[in-house]
Amino acid sequence: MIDRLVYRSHAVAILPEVALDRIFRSSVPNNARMNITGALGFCEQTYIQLLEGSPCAIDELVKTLEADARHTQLTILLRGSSERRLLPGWSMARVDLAKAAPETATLLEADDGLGLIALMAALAHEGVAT
Amino acid sequence: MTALQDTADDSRYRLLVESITDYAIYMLDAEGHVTSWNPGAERFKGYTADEILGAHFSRFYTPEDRQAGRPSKALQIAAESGRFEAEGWRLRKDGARFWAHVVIDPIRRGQDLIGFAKITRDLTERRAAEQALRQSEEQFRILVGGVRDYAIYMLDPDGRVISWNAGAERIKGYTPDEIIGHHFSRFYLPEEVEAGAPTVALSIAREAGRFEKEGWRLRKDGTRFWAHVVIDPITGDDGEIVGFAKITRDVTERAEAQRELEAAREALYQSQKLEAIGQLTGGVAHDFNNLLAAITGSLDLLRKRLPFDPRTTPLLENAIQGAERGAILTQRMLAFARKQELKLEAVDIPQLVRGMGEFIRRSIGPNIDVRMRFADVLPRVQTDPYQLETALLNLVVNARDALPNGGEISITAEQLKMARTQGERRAGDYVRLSVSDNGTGMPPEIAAKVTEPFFTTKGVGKGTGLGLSMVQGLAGQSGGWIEIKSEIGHGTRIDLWLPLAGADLPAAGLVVTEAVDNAGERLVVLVVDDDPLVLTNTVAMVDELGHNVLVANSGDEALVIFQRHPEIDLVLTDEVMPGLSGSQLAERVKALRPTAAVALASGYADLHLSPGPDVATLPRLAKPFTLAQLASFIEGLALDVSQRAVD
Repeated sequence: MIDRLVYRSHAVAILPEVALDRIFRSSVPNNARMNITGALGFCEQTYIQLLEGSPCAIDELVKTLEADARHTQLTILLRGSSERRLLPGWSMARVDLAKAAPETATLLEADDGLGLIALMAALAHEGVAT
Repeated sequence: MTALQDTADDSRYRLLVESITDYAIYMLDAEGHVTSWNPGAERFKGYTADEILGAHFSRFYTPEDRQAGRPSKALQIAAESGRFEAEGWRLRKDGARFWAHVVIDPIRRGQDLIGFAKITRDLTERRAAEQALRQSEEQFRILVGGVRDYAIYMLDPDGRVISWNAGAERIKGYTPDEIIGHHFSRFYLPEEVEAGAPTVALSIAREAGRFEKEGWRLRKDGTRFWAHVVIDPITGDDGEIVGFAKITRDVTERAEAQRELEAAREALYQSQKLEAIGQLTGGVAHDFNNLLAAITGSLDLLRKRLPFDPRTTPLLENAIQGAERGAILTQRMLAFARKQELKLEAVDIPQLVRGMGEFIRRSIGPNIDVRMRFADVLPRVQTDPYQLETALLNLVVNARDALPNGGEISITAEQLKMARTQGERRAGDYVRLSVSDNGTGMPPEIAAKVTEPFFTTKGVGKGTGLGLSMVQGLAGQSGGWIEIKSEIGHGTRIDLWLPLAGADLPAAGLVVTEAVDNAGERLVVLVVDDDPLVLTNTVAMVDELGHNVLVANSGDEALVIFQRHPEIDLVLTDEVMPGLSGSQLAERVKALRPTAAVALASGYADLHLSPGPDVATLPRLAKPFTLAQLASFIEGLALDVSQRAVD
């Protein structure tokens, strides 16, 4: 069993477009080490991240994320356990939420964790701009 | 004697008076007529003694003053109070005015007034200088007072504020009344005051003649700003310090812009580095994949050739598992750089759906009932299990959004046979996986469109239209299709038709020990790879399967061998090689002998390098591959060869 979690947070200071590369640089190896997989994207100034991994690893990562100064107002929208991962092949898939902009915004407005998970997993599987 | 003395004194005074040129010194009689005239008077009034002696002194006054009776008033005051002193405009002979300082003393003999002594100084220049000074001081005051971008103010020697301009008021928030008289340390942060920073600043200014620094300062409202501060000491004529001039600029915006610029620069640098890392990762993963191919292939063969030995076999299994985990890792590295390939496996649908049941029920909300019904015996289907789970999650979200007031979502699966091929529905055996809701439903014209990318049927606050196109893509790539049935007021049902898994597909989530039968048909296979390690490994595997193997180290060499050996059934080639690439080789081979089979054995990364339509149709074997995968791959190709022979 793995834990699946989606959170939203508010990007601080510099544009997420710019910050994201740096985040990926540090988070990909770190997630690989902890055997955490998932996806990350943003909608305007809001980061949305989907995480999958063992409950302990997820707990540890959430602690690290809460202390990360690059974002504030971290809110966990949904956390639950499941048999399998949705994105086992991605240490951190970079999803283009702009591609689904109006939907992403309405999902965010409703704090719809399940909808955001489904959207991010679909976007990750549909392909990612490189 | 007295007269003589008088005469002597007289002449001495006369000499004195007549040598004075900076003062007009002359005498008037009691009525005000000029009775004596000195060179100073001549110099700045313009009259010679001859011209003026006997004239009334009122001619030196301006017409207005004459009109006002000032000349006689001056004499009257001098006579009555013993002295008249004033400054005012006077006229020269040429009519020009000059600013004069005038003293009139009465001259008496005994009680009788016999005349007046008059001393006049030309103060025009001094007045002009004074006025200029006043003017410039005024201008300076206006200038400093009006500056809004700089706080310019003065401190007394102890550091108390003694002047305050508009800029200071704007930047620091205090009005002059609120701040004048207070110590300037209140602009500093408390910790800096504690450390004595204000005192240090003044003593540096005092000793070095200037203090300049940037730092945080406080406004009246307590907010901080990043200030550029200059303090200059102001010294009096005696060299004593009488105070300090302080100029403060708010450079917060500049500092922030600078910081953002640096952050952006850093991010750009990092992203460029990341891009380089990404390229590097792709390259390393590719090479690593080749090494893993050699390792897993060799281990596979060893496992097959060595008899079971409790001392060595577990070690071998261990090594195989390690190599397989390495392969998963490289796949992730490649996936980071590029779109992930669909990975078809034999998937047990009830097991998969039940595995996600808890998560769905927990997250979907209390007023929606999720039911799952599956046939007792259901064969495995051919699909990518992770994509299928994502697809199901999207279908469930769609169903949920069609149930704003609650309701029921059913997930069901059953085995069905499609008798005839009709459109995208191909004849064969399938499992139909359905997600249905008893919600609002859609009109048929919308139901027909929902699989288009970006199409959404939903209003504000509800999910995504992206999901269905992903679901459709998955079904198609798995060899199936989707169907949508919807009726307004009754709900929507989406069916995923997925083909049954062939025996060759690895089962999802299970470690299988692969049994490989030797191929029934002996083929002649030309193996092409520029990497000798990979080549040796592939050759050993093809040989193990009982085929005859020919070997080439490059595309060009392969072409020569292919022309020499018309018995070659299959060319199994690497894609990325110096000289002729795998796909170019395939093109030449097909041109020489259209019936020959060519297959690409390639890493994931390579597959993206060959987007040409001809190449896209070539059979591909992803590296690293196991013996079983190679066997079934070649078997599939051999079947094609025999079919072609029948055609």
